[in-house]
Order: sequence, then structure tokens, then C-alpha cells
Amino acid sequence: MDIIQQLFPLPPIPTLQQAVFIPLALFTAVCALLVVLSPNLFHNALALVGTLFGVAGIYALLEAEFLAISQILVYVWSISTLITFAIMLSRGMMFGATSKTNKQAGTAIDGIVVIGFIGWCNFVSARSKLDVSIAVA
Amino acid sequence: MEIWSSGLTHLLTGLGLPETAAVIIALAIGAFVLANVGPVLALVLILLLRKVISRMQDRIGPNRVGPFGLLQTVADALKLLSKEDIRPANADAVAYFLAPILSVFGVILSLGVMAVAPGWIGVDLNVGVLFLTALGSIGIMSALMAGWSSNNKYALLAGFRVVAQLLSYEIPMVLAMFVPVLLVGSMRLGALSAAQSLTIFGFNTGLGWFGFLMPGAFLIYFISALAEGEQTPFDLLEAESELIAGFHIEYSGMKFAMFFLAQFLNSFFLGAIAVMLFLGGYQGPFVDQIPLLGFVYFVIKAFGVYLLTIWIKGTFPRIRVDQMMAFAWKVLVPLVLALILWQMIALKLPGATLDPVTGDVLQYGFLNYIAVFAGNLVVLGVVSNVLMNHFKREKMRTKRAFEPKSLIGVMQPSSGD
Amino acid sequence: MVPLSWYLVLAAFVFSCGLYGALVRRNAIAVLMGIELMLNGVNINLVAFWRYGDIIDKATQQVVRLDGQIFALFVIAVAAAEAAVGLALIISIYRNRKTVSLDQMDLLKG
Repeated sequence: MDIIQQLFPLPPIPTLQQAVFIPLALFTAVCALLVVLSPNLFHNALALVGTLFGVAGIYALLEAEFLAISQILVYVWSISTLITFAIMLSRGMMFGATSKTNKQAGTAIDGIVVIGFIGWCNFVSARSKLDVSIAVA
Repeated sequence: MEIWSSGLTHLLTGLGLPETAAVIIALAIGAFVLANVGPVLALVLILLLRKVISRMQDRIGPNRVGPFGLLQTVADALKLLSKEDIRPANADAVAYFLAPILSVFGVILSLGVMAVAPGWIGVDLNVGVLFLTALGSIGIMSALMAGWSSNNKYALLAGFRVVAQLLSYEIPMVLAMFVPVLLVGSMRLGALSAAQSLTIFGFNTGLGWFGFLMPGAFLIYFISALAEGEQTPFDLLEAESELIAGFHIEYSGMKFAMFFLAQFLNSFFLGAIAVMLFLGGYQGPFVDQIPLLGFVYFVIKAFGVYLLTIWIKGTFPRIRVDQMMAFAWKVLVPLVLALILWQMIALKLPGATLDPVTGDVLQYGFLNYIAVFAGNLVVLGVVSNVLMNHFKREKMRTKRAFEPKSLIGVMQPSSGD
Repeated sequence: MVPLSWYLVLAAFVFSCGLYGALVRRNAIAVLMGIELMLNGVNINLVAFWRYGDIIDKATQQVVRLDGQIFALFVIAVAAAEAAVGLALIISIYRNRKTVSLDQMDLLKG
């Protein structure tokens, strides 16, 4: 328990920003999962839009409003529209009988990549002093 | 709403609430009020549209329900709400349900940044203009979602069409919005409205409208806003007299009503943005003394622009889809790009008063204003010339179509084709 | 304040999802979506490090450094260009070969 406490220094009551961050991050993460896991290609595109909105919210939380609006303008306006058009113009793949994923050992490798990457990041950041010496504006 | 919400926050903290909770409650009340302004406003807008259009078509319009038919739209809304909610059997459930909600959501959000009177603004974002343009993306996504999820090929085609139209006209619209932004040097809507004051002998007449200084940008914005709001010369999406409805053909009852609401509010809000950017916002005589007067001016101006769109709806013929796209890409986009380039040059001409320390511009000189105005006059001339030629040709074509055949050879078209 | 590591975990998660999609999916458009996700994960990291770095000038209390945001803007611009080019390629391949499955694009395979 001590190690967990040390790695995740959760305050007892989340502050306002944390209370905004947690649902936003959950939304973003679930949408990001749906982008790669949902079998329907159009649902993937919709989930991508959700992820992009969530990331824009994260930017707004990080006080980069201009970047947040640019994200919505560029990504949601143009890129997601382009992707949706491309999906609908190449419609044959939407209802194909083949499996959606290839047979690479990708799944296993990526499982390791996901877990290892998250653990590594968390480890590094928890050990550095960045969390403690937050530049309070 | 800034003044109002800070007053409410003070009141709540006085009652013993912690500061954060008071702010959250005040903001929630403000958001609730603004979200309810939307539907009520839409009832007024629809009634106004029906009354004015019927006067133009030599009819009386709705006059049965309530005094002068004032309650007609309320009755219509109740009828729509009580209708059966039908979902096509093979529709995609999630996207089908989300699309109408998103369309209303995206439109109503823009109320939050509108500067309706001095200090009356939900949030004075420092990227307010960009925020307003970014909201359009939600409308696009909802159109695509509705078109695709209905599982109807006509709905899908209409969804493609509306996305193509909105994307094409978004570009000249955003660029025209940035012409006044370049002059003011701020994207805050409050600052943009405040910059349109005109003080003569110490009295603020409030007539320094950017529409006078930049008529070209205003015309381009107005045309693009008509297309963005799917108003009449550009309402190919649901040409009521010619086609079935657009991407919302499979929707019924309340969901259909939500699309309807979003469309009306969108065209009204685009007019309100035109008021804020080009027609002085809340500016007018005696606004500095009585801030409430600013709200009155704003509402009058916004409804004036809305009446103008109704007038256009009642008089102009619909244009073809290829003409519409060609007009956006071959006329509006090059012109507005040239206008922005010219504006940048004009604002760098000598004559501006600079801040001695930072080098920022405090006040532009006479030469800058004259150059901006001249560039805009050229753009105004070109755009109106293109429009005049188009409508002259169309008039000739209609005349030919309705004349008896034997007369065609006799008639001499003036434009030469 | 939100601890920096929360942002990093989120960024890592989004990046890993994108990596999974880019490696495993058959559909070329889905692969492109995975790449967009990866770019977004990187962007979150850039902006988070920018925000938690030393950006305030002590004397004037103004935000003086914007490098993280500028980097993120560049990434967004590159992503837009990449999506345009990539989707154009995919559409033209689809017109030629009637497929967008990466497994079947094996013209150069001996």
C-alpha cells in the first residue's frame, strides 16, 4: 500500500480541476479505445471525433485555449470530415466478411507496449520532482 | 452576464456558501437561463418568418391560435412533441439519437460568448471569434451522423451535400470575420463591440460600425452566413418546393423539431454575429450612460438582420448546386484572401500612432482607414457585379422559358449570350 | 492542480491505442485514424510539459514561453496535411484495386 500511495499521491478530496480532469480523461480514453476496438468503421470515426474533442478539453484545462480551438477547427472540421468522406467513398470495406485485424502477433506485442509505456511514464514522472514543484501561475 | 453573475456570486457567498460552490451555482444558473433562451427565441423566430413571408406572398398567415395567431408556433411545437417517435428498423441507434441533440447543442453554445450589452457576456473568451467558428464543426458532425445513421441513401446523399456546402462557405465566412479582427487586434467579442464606438465632441454616438468601414467584408460575410444558415438562395439542402427534406428525412416528432430549432437558431445567431462584428454590436447613442439600452440596440439590430434574411427568402430564386460551389470557390475565396492581404498592407501604412515603449498600435491614422475602405469598396464592387450579372442572366432565362416560342427569336438578350 | 503524471498517463494511453490501431488494423483508413491518435497523444504530452515548465516571467507576470504550444500547432498542421495526402492515396488505390485492405495491396510482392 505504501508503494501505491507513493506512486499515486492522491489527495483526499479532488480539487475542481481534478474533478474536471477525471471524467474528461475517462471520456477521452474510452473513445480512444473505441477507435481501435469497435468493429464498425463509421463508429471508429465517431469515436475519433470524441477523442479529439476530449483532447481539446484537455488543452483547455492546460490553459492553452487557442490550441484547443485550433484542435477543434483543424481536426474536427477538416480531418474527421475527410476521414468520414473517405470511409463512405470506399464503402466496400465497411461490410466486408474478413476479420478487421490482421494476424500479426501485434496484439500481444501491443499489450506489452501499452502496459510498459504507461508504467514507465508514471514511474519517471513520479520520481522526478515535477509533480511537487508545480509552477502555480 | 458577467456583472450579473458576479453579483449573484457575492450574494451566495454572503449566505455562507464557499467561494467555489457559489461560482459554480452562479454559472449553472446563467447556463440554464441561456439554454432556455434558445427554444423560446426559436418560437418567436418561426412565427416572425411565417407572418412576414405570408405578407410578402399576399397572404395573412397564421391568425387563429391566440391573439393575432401569436400562439401558433407554440401549438405547432406541442403537436410535434406529442407525435410518435419513429426509429427506422436498421438505423444505427447511437448516432441516430445523438445527431439531433448535437445539432442543438452546437448552436446554443454560441450564446455563451455573445456580447449583448456592455459587460453582459457569458464568457469573454480571448479566442471568441475562433470559438464561434469552431462550433460549426458540431453541426457538420451532426449532419453526417444523421445522414449516415438513418440508413437511407437519400439522407446520406443530403448529408454529403450539406457538408460540402458548409465546408465551402465556412472558408470565406471565417476569413471575412478576420478582417475586423485584424483591425482591432483582438478576438474578444467584447473588445470587438467596444471598438465600434465613435466619439464626436465627447459624445459616443456608437456609429463606428465596421460595416461602414469594411462593406466588402460585410457583404462576403453576409452571403456566406446565408449559406451557412441554409437560407434561401442556398437552401438546396431542403428545397421544400422541389425535394423531400434533407438529411433529417427519417426523423419524426421531437427529434425533427430539434433539427428545425437548430436551423432557425443558427440563422439568427449568424445574424447576431454579423451585428457584433460589423453592425456595432450593442453600440448606439447613450449606451455609455444606460447599459441596458445596449441590449435593446443589440436585439433590434439582430432582428433587423433576421428580417433581411426573410426578405431575401421571399424574393430570391434558388441557385443551382454547381453555381453555388463555383461562387464560393471562384469568387468569394480569392476575393476575401486578397482583401485580407490588402488589409495587412493597409494597416502597415505610415500614419498610425504607436506606443513608444512596446511599439503596439494605439490608434490608426487617416491613411490606414482610407486604404482599408478603398480595398473594401473594390471587393464590394466585384461581388455585386458578379451577383448582378448572374441574376440578369437568370431573369433572361426565366423570361425565355415563359414567353411563347415564336417570340424567342425576336427578343434580344442584353448580356450577349 | 492536476499532477503532471495524470496527463502523461492519459497521453501514453492515447498513444498506445493509436499504436495498436496502426499496427493491427487491416483497413488503411483505420490505420490512418490510429496515426491521428498517436499524434494527439504526443500533443497532450507537449502541451502538458509546456504548462508545467517555467513559462511565467517573474518580473512582469506574463507568459513568456510558448514553445510547447508552437510544437503542438506544427504537429496539428502536419497531421492535417498527412490526412489529406493519405486519404487521397487511399481513394486512388481504392479506385484502381477496389480494396482498402492493406493485406491485399501486394503488387510489389514477388
